[in-house]
Amino acid sequence: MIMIATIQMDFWLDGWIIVTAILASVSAAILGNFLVLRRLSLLSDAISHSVLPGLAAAYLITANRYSWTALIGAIVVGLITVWLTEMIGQYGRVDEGASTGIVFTGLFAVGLVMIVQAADRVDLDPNCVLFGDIELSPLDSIETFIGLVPRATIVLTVCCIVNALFVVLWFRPLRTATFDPQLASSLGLSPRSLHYALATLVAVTSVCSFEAVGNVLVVTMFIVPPTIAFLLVNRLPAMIVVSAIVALLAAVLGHISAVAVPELFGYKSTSTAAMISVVSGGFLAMAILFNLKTGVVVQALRRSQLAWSILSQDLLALLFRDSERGQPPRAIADISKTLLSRPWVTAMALRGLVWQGYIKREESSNQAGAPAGNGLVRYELSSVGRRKAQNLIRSHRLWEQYLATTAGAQLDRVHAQAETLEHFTNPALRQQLDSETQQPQSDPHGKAIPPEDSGKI
Amino acid sequence: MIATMIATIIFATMMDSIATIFTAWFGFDYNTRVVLAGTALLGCAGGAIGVLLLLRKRALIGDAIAHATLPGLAISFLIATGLQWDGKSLWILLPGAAATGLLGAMTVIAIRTFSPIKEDAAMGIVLSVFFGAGIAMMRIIQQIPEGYAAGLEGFIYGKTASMRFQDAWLIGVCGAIIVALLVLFRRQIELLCFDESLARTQGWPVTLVDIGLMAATTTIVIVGLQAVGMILIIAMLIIPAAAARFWTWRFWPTLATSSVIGCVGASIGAMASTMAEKVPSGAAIVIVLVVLFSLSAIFGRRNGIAWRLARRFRQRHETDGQHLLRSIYEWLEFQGKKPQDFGQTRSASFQLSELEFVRNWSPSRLARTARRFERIGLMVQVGRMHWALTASGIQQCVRAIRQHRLLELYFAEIANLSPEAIDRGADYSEHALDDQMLAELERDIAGASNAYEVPESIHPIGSREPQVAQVGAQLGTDHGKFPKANQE
Repeated sequence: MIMIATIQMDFWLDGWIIVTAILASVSAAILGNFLVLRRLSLLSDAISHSVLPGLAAAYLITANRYSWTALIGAIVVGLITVWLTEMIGQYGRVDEGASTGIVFTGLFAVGLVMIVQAADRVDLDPNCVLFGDIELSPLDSIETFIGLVPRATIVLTVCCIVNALFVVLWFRPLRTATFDPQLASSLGLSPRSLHYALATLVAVTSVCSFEAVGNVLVVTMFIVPPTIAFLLVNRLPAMIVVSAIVALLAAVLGHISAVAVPELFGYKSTSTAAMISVVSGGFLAMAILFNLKTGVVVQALRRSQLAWSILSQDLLALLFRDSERGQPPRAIADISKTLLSRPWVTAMALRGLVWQGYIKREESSNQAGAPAGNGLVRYELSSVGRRKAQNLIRSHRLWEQYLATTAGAQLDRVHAQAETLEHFTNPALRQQLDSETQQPQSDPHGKAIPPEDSGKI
Repeated sequence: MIATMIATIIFATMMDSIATIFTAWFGFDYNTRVVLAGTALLGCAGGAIGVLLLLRKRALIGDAIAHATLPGLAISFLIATGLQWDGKSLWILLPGAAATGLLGAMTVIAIRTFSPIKEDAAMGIVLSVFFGAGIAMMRIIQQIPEGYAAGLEGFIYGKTASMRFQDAWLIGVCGAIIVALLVLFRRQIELLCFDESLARTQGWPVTLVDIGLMAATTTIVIVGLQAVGMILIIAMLIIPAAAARFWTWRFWPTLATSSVIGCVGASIGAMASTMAEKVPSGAAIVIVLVVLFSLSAIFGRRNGIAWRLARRFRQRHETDGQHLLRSIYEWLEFQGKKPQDFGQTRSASFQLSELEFVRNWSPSRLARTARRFERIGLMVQVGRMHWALTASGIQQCVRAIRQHRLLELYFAEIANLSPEAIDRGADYSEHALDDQMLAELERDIAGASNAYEVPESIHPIGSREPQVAQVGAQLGTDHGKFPKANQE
């Protein structure tokens, strides 16, 4: 809020910058989905670098930034990149990464030399090649029926529409070729020509967004939003839509932060394209950490939740066994030693169980029954906790019986296996185990199997 | 350690001698010599590390590392300027660059390990996002008074002119350490490159060696930033290594070749850029390297395109020749004028156009082969359009047809191929028959008695069956009634 309050935006200027950024982001993201899924992410890097000589040649010929020549030059060089990459990979027996690296660095170097040589004649700064100059795009505007519109915006609008049409019209072939190239070729869909079509559009998009975001940062726009979408959703249409939305958000937030963040430190605004890249990176980091399927944090939470519930169940079972054997209640140190858990974790779990009402906590004065040195606090099962523990022990012993009698496991191994399986056994499975082992009364070690407690009070 | 010291000494000597060579040959001034020597060493070390990266299929991680150095450069410059230090000192900039470069490499590995994102996407992400962060900071650096002349842009495209003697030394020492480590851990590295799982089962610390490789790559990238720039430094790692693959397939020779190519490419490129004012040195070096790569790809002894084409051309010649000989025989046999291996010095005459009934030829290809046969004395022209085989031509002809028919017999009787597959199979494999295999075929199929006879064809002759029958009928021979190809 503080940030936004301090920004002063020119509605016309910043409005067009944001619109241009959104168009560049979205048109790249739409295609990027297929690059990411087909593991061709670095193709965008390669093509965006290698279109440079095509562009430079077009600039030299027409001395104009936007021209059909530039587009054709870029498409030709883009296709050459793909073809050369294939050739070098095939004949040089190197992997795709290496052949890509050779082709795009070579072509980029040629383009760089051409641009530097022509610097007097063409207004193109080698540094802008890398990160573009979206801030300057409103300066080059043309009159249209809705007023003065930056040229870059018009070009990117067309590009975005073309990409969207490509994806919509060729959706089925693209999907098949992406997920099952063999099936696609057996259906006569020619994944190879689709590959070249995709490469062509990547080249076109790189060229169209060249002025705005440059050739390194466009890679972010191709890869990052689709990757985020890949982490968030499962289906291809949803992935495309999500990637477009992410691209849009990143573009808007990117421009805002490009203006606002440096102001916090007392500087003027920084590059919008660069900040879009940084913001996308931030989005991706959050997606990696927090997405519901595979998020690192989410998975860690799930794991610790599982560990927690297993520890709680083990605690209940331990207390049940103790009372079965008629042992006096134990202290925390003793419990954590038995269960091989850290004392503070055990204490937390016990507190949780007390809070849930499964366990009674007793502050006892030093009674005769308590062994010396065990402290003052003792824990016992409540009646609800006893029921829960009873079912758990029943699961454990039924499994032992099943493993020993029906599955034919060795007697000294059944305990460890049952210890794992007991936590994943529901009443129905217990029922099944019970009937498969002919309703035993005791487990292979001779312990009595407690009856099922249906939980109704 | 001793190896490291020795290698350092060797490298230092090399640097001196390279500088001397440059002076002697080209009369460069001292500073240029230093730059050239440093760049040459960089190319050398880059080529060596590149081979390992290539074999580990990690070539583009260098690109990610290189791009990820930009924010490190910017941050360390900002901090140093904030503390009133000299922000342009390499001793401040390079550690920062190394830190974010390594962070980038680790991020790639972390993304690959902890999320379902694939490695290629991870590299693209790290490359572009780190670079974006760097660019955002560079824009801010440009706004502070000291920043404008910082020359940090030189790190993006490379600016050898700014290289000083100590920089060349830095490159030399780093290169020496890397080469020494390569020599020290040669067994582990070789094993890791070719059989990772064996290396694991033998108990080598694979991950550690991998991290060492990453560290070495980062080192090369960092010390190379000045000379080549972060965008194109990856070329110094990949291109020499890939070029070396066209010359040899063995590990150490590849390493040596790659180093030499890197060294030559880097020094020529740096030289070119010192002569041509405007060309960024990175671009010049990469272009020279690409030229070297193309030369290797064309003329390399292994898989080079020129050799490959030559081999294919030779093979096609041979195949065409055998096909022509065979069709001549088949045509003459079809007309009842079989060439006789003994007693005939000239076969019956035939026209080239007639052979088209036996086989599908393009007329120009047929004429070309015929002219070649005439040149080497297998065929002579007897009248307009008419040709005949010479004695040696007959010999070759009989040999070719015997090979083909023996193979056909083999396929029919022993391999039990279907009739359609027999002719085609023989067609493909007859060219690869050597004398020993031919002798075995003779023993197995024909028996010793008729060792020099040509077996009868087991299928109708001619690629255009009905027409052949027609021609046969017109000529009035009793071969006119061939069994139809589609009889069964």
